[in-house]
Amino acid sequence: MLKLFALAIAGALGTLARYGLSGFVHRQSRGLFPYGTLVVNLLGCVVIGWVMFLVQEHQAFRPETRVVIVVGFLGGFTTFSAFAYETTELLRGGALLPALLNVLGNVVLGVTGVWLGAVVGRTSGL
Amino acid sequence: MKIEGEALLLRIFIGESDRWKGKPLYEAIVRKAREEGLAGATVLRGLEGFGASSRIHTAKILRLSEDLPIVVELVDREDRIRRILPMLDEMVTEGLITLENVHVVTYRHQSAST
Repeated sequence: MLKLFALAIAGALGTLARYGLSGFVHRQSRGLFPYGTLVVNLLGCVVIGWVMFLVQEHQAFRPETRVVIVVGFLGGFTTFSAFAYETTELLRGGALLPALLNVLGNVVLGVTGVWLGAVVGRTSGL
Repeated sequence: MKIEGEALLLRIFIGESDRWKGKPLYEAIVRKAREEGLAGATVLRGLEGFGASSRIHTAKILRLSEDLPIVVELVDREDRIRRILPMLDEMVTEGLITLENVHVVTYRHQSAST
């Protein structure tokens, strides 16, 4: 029960963090490319890469803590549904290149971000 | 009620999150127009827009899809439109209100069959 409660709190915090950061990103950017979703997803990928490196190579977190961070916080922080919706809207508006860039950005850079997170963990010793 | 010929079109540009005494502002405007006996009101939802704050609101990006634009249109004789304007001035604390001259070609409704 405590784990579920912690998960819910972490998820809420992740969602609020996404709301704040994506809003900040959009206020700084011009045009209608979904930078906000891209940034939170990429940042989430880097963090998950780093956390899972710590888990796999250093057993840094207890399983419950890992679930709260990865499933809870990062689950609320990142968003696949917004990425899918915004890509669909780009396609519906005929913005094929931005749609493709959004897919490549979220998927390819996201996977790269996971790798980068692990590299950061390995090289920084954190 | 019958309106024909020269009339005024009142357009009110607001946001869907705008409130008046706890209710959506667009709903309050339509209720007020009906109370004041205006000929009609239509609420239109916009897909995208920006206003005085220059902040874009669009349905295309979820984070920016809060407070999408709403346009309320009212057409009636000048005296009725002018009578409601001070009330709208109090209710619309953020937005745009415009007035245009229009020529009413048709305003009719089908009476209920007996």
